[in-house]
Amino acid sequence: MGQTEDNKAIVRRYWFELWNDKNIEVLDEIAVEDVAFHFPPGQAHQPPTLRKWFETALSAFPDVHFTLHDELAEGDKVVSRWSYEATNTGNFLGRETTQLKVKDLGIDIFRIEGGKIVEMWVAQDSLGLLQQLKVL
Amino acid sequence: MNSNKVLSRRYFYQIMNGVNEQVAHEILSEDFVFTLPTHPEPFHGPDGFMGLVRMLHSSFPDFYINPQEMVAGGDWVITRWRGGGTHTGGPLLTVKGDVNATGKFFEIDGMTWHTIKDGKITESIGHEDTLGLMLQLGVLPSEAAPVTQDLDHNQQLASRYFEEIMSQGNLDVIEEILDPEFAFIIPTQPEPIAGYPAFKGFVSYLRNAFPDIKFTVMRQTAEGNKVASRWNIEGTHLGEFLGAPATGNHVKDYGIDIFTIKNGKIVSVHVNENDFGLMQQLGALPS
Repeated sequence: MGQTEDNKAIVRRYWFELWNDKNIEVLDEIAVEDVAFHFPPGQAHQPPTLRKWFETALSAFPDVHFTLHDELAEGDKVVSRWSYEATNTGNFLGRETTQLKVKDLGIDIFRIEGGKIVEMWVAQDSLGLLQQLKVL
Repeated sequence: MNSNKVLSRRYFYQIMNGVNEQVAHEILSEDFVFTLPTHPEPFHGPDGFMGLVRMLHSSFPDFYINPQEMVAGGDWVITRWRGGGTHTGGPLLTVKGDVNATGKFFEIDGMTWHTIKDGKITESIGHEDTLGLMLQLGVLPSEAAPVTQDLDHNQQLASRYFEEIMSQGNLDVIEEILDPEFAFIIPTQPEPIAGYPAFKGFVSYLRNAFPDIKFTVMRQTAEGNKVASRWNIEGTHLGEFLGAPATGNHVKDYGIDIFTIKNGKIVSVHVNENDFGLMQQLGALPS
């Protein structure tokens, strides 16, 4: 039980300290540099690394704020069900800034090894995001 | 196995793939709710959900959704899956309106969060790559080049699978012709045998049981991103197989494999063979 609680604590730092406090230094403490990062493979945009994805998202949506709705852990995995709200006040993947407010929700699975995130899978509603930005 | 995971597995294989209405009533609660961000309205109850499942199968006659991994705790099971199909049936209802059959194949990833109470699934929250689906079906313009299928190449992949991997036991060929996400799906295994290490283990296990195993492809056909092969095997049972100790029996079995090809490699194979007859020949079942 101790291990899964420790793993949940690492993932909470990912949401609250990295994304909500925008503290990039936390990334080195909670994740290995070459996290295997599984973005939905059907999409054209594939962030090369977790760090790059964080930087891309933050420059487009500097006020992004996540809410963690549910979490569970089993073995070396932690699952989070999340939502975010953000304002598009920066350039997003080459598109013009819209100043629009957006929200999305999704599920991430994390694999933890030796106290660090080593692999993660992301499921989110990218179609809905692009609709909210009036791209589609 | 965790009993909640068993229920989630039945949800995918028996309801979503098998369109089994009886199972829907057995394992979904009467107040079951299904939500997906890209559907404006939730689907309610076993019958409401069956309506969605039937619509998917009517649009995509070869529709499938296969669990890749499950994580469970408390009342919850989260499943990471891969699903797809070929749009040769009825129109698909989307946020861009009804889309008539495109003839195109799609395959996307997603996750499903199940809540289970008193042995029944009460809620299913889905998140899937709808954007990828719309791009692959051509509903939204994609900058990526359309996927063209080389049917001869696809058939060669299937032939090499039987000859070099299964009959010769050449494990080096596995990484050459199979996708890293490869899954071997067979009714006798509760979950797909997925990824290189697991599949290498399976081939070694099969060849330990039948060291002289020989697969012969009797007929084969290719269409779209699929290859179907009807095959037979012969071999001598010299090692343990599915619990049956070595008998020295010479066995012969028949089966059909359906391969799915993606980016020039085999990404999955669905296997059906005469398991019952095989186990009879091994003396594990009365004949």
